[in-house]
Amino acid sequence: MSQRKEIKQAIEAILGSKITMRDDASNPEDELKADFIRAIELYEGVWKRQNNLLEKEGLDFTSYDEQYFKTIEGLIHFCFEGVAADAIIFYVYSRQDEDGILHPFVDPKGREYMFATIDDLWEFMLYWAEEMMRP
Amino acid sequence: MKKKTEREVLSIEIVYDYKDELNELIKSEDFNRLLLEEAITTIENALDKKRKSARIFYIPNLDCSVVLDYRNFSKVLNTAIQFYEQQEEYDECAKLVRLKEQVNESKKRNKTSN
Repeated sequence: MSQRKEIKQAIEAILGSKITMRDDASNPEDELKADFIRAIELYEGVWKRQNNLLEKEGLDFTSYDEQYFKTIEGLIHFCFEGVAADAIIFYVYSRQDEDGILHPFVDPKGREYMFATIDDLWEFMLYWAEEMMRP
Repeated sequence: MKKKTEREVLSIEIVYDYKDELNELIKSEDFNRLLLEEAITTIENALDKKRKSARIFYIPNLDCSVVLDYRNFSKVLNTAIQFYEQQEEYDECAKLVRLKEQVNESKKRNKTSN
């Protein structure tokens, strides 16, 4: 018997339940999460840069960047379901106010979700995807 | 057995030459406690995040993760309750009974909504 199978049986004996040994070398969920985080961090970085230029240097690039942000927002709405798209845009622009206070994202049913980190947003995306799959 | 943390998930390297060594590990109270503690933590997290499975730990030498399916959460909690009963850690048992109730409630809610 292979060591992998022996180890699986040993863990099942300890936990008293069947388990799955999931290969991590090419885990599509992790890859998807990494891609998502990279894209959203870049998006947020551009937004923060625009704000910093205005606040610290007095340079107003709002009009200059407007078409650029509209393009990104359009692509987000094109790629994601409505509430998921709103959550992403809320995460970048509105989750934190000028005093650094976090505000909740509110779904159409009035339920609130706090996005302290990008991981929280990712968890919401997974949760919302499952909600959408419900009959 | 070496233990270290990788990302947010516990990483445990399980290396042995003979099957007897693995059997020793299965009998080890410390190892049982470690796995059950980690399973409980990940089940709590999965419930909190409304996930359908819990990734308990990672085995780097096999490059795979040990994943527990939602439908088996109660079974593992039963095993943990028995373990802590044997250790006479009744506070922990009480905590796990509440967690098991939470799992059962969550199952009921899902059945109702489906």
